[in-house]
Amino acid sequence: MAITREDLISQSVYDFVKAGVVARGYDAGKVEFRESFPYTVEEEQLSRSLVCVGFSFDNGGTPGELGSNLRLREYTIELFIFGKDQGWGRNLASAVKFTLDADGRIPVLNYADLAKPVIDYLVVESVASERQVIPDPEPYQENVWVVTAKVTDEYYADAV
Amino acid sequence: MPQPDLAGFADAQARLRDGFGELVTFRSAPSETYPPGTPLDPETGKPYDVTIVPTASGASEWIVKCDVAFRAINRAGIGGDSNPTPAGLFEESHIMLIANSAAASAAASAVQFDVRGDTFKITSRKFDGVGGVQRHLTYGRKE
Repeated sequence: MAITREDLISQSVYDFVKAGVVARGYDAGKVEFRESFPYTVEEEQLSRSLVCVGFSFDNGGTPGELGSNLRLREYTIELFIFGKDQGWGRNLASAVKFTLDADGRIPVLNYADLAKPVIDYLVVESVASERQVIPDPEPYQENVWVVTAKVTDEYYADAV
Repeated sequence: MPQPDLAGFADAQARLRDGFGELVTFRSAPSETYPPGTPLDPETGKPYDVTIVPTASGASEWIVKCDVAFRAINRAGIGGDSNPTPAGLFEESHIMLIANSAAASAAASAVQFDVRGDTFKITSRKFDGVGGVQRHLTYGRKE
């Protein structure tokens, strides 16, 4: 199987956010989740708000302890919220932020297994939301917020 | 007050399409089959493992006769390809197909279409008409 550790982390964070936000009452009629940043939206005006995974990068990792290959790698995962209006954008960004914050950790699921068992946890270091001002926006880009989550993965380098 | 001949209007439009329409190939999203037991992402329908190749794939196609219309460029300009025609400057990235209402249902599950040598992604569709529904509009954007 060629599912990397980072694939598992990205997918786990996305599924965690989606499940948590839906559990807060934001169902499919109100919010649509997308696994990638929408470079085009074929609508003049959004009929519902969007939550999309934007960009993901890491800090390169640091040694976890002397004498072993334990690594601590901090991932920065950005989620873009396209609100159908200003109120929705702000509200949904808060819902995403507090969903990520809620437990202080995010389960890492093994997507190579059909049962998707929990194999590890990510530590949530920080979650911040910020409005993005886009010059000359398309209609769907007028109410954009970015929620930036920093999570730390602790792993043995030879095990991934 | 004379009643408008809506049936005659619809019939005239249908005959116009029959005479001047173009054959458009509508295509559904490709369906892919993966080896049994492959964990699939429920959102995309694709495997989490990007290296797994489908064991079979294919898309359905339908051919429907449609009128083809492009959008005229406004003064501010629109991004995309444009082409000067006797009727003015037209933007060819966006296109609209006009089909008979009955014929449209044949392509209801299509996600893209081919016309005039280009492939367009379907962005929206709706029924339209005067005094009732007489035709079906499909909007596309060049892929």
